[in-house]
Amino acid sequence: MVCVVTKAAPLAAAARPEIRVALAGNPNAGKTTVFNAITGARQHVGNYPGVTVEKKEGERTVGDAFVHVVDLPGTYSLTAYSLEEVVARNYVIDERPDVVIDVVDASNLERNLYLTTQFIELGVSVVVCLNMVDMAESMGRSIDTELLSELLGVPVVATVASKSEGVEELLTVAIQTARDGHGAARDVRYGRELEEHITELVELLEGAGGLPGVPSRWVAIKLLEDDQEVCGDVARDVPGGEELLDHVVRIRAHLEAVVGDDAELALADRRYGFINGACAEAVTSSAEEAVDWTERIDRVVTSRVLGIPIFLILMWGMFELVFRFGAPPMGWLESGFGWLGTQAAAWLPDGPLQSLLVDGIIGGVGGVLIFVPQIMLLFLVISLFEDSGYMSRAAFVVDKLMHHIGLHGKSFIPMLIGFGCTVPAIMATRTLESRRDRLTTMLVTPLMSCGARLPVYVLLTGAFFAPQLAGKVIFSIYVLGVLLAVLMARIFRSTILTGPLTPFVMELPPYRMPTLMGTLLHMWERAWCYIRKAGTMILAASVVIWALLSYPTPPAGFDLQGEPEIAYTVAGRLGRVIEPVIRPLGFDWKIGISLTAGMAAKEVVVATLATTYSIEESEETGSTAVREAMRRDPIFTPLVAYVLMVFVLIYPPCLAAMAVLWRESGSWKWLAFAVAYTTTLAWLVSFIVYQGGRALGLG
Amino acid sequence: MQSNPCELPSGPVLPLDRMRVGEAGEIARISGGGGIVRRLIDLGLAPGVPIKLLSDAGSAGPVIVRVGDSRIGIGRGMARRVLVRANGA
Repeated sequence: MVCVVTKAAPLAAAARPEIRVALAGNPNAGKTTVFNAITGARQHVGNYPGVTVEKKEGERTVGDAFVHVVDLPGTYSLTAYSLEEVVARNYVIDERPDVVIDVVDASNLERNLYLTTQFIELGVSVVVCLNMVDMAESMGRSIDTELLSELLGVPVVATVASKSEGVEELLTVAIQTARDGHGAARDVRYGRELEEHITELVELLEGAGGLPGVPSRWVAIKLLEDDQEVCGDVARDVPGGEELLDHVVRIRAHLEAVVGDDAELALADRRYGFINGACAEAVTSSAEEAVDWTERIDRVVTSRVLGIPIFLILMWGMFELVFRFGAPPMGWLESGFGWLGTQAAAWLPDGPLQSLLVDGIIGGVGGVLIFVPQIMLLFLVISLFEDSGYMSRAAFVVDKLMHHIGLHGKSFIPMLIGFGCTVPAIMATRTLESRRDRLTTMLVTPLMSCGARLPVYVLLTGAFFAPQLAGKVIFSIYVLGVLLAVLMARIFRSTILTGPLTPFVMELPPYRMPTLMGTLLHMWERAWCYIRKAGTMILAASVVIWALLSYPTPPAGFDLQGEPEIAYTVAGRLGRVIEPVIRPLGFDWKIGISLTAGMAAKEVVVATLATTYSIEESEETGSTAVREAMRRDPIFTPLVAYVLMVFVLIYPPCLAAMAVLWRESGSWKWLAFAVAYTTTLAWLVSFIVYQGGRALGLG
Repeated sequence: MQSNPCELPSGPVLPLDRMRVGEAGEIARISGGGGIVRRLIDLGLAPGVPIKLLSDAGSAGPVIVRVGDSRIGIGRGMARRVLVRANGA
């Protein structure tokens, strides 16, 4: 046996140099930790073709084997309920990985093995990675992996992936299984009544040629479960599929009469029966169960009385931390970039190059990068919420409130992420099962004031409001954003996205102490998206905008009729064109330039204002100078500054966010709609605030 | 429609959202159809499975239940459709 393996291995390696491993498992089973433990830093992130579900891949060489690992999205079953589950299932069926490593949470064995039974039914080579055995042990349970392996008929390897324990053995077993397959896996038997119908359907399917690549038994079971995807495949690909489906409908009706339950419930009952039987044999529990801390914490955190107050305190704490502790490093960065600007100005001779570097690049990119500390802090807190398990409790607590706007608790998570950056927030809507919920959430998430808008508020409040008022003014903008999101969600759900509310169903993972590495990594992934934007899109936009603001220069002796030189440039002329439209909001052509430029990214509004005003009054540089210059401009009053903040809050999100919205909604029509509605809303609300403010004598 | 032949001699059957916090029982039936029932099954809610109500957000809010080793949050509308045979206490 050993001899055969060693002889066959080089041959197999030559014929197929790569072993393709798919990593599957329930959410929260530690799949990502296993993936990191296997691949280390050798991983890259992409997308599954056609959809934007993130696809993580990694490589690893073990002996003579080159292992390629794909991390599938977390799934509870292969029933294809959410987009991520469809992706996971189709990957296994279409790509046929050599082996599937099914990561199973040892402390929640029964539920996790439900997915395992489905992989076995699908006829793929499976290795069960029994992860977090230390957790199970701390709960007083020990699992006999050998016996479990025997009962399931597939290899089982115990691991503690967070400490890299058992991961090497897992790999060895996975490679062996990929090459040799495993013995006969144990199929779930569904009892005489169900088995008769399964056999009947298998015969009918086989007679018609079956579905390519999947066992007919699996297809038969999925048909009995009324799985829409498989029904569709059968109707399309199996000759006489339609009649077969009619027959399935009759069987389901018959089963319901005999068993007293829907067929899917009867099948589930048997599957859980099989699993319970296996667990009863392989798992021994000591008499005393450890204290269930999760349940104790939940009794307080999710209680009817304290749930909402605790949630509000945590949200308040989050913003307090972000603004209080984010301010000093922001000041350091600001002086850093100021120093850099002065140095560059001193070293370079006066002229276009100096202006490009100082006003365009350092001013533009620097104005955006100084907000990185605050954005990092926000994402740090959000990562802590997620990694500790609180995030799903927050979704639970706000579910009732969200019902009033026609959404459920899960929509809250993308909206919270939206305070950091709209791009990951829109991607986070993927966990929403219903398309209507997803679209509604996607459309209103940009109204959550993202980190990129903060620079605009800080600049304007700094210039036009007393320091003790500034915080309250910015807070009012955030609240306005939330209120508008609530209002728009209600409007969308009762007009263009009507339909019944999708039920809220969500697993609440046990509370866990977040690990430093895990949380930092999580935070970094999101913060990087902001920094990268500053380095690419905003850098490019800064240069383009600088050029538009600088050229053409008026010919010598040209009569500007008292206007500043910038009025002669391309941007100045563009600003003039749109000025009539924004005049009722109290804006002039210079603000018009900034707003147009801000379509690329909202931070650019600051950069453009800075460039406009520092080009205009080029004696001094730095943000204090810009504030001074704006204050001297008669068009700017505190009211206009506030209206400008309102407009920046609402009008279309940055290019990156729009691109993601387009991809995730799957249609440019939704993108066009989002742009149209946010622009209209921005104009209307700004108009009301400006004209209302003037009527009250504020402007 | 026949009733389950192996009925246990215990408490009354009531919808999940009518249970008291801390009360336990066994799932008798899940009504309603389509994807959502399958999702509940995937998460471990199937007939015959022991279940315990952990939290209740009240009025239109969701509930949290314990099934097996997991905690599942379920919206009120769905919770009404899960029928539980309470342990005769």
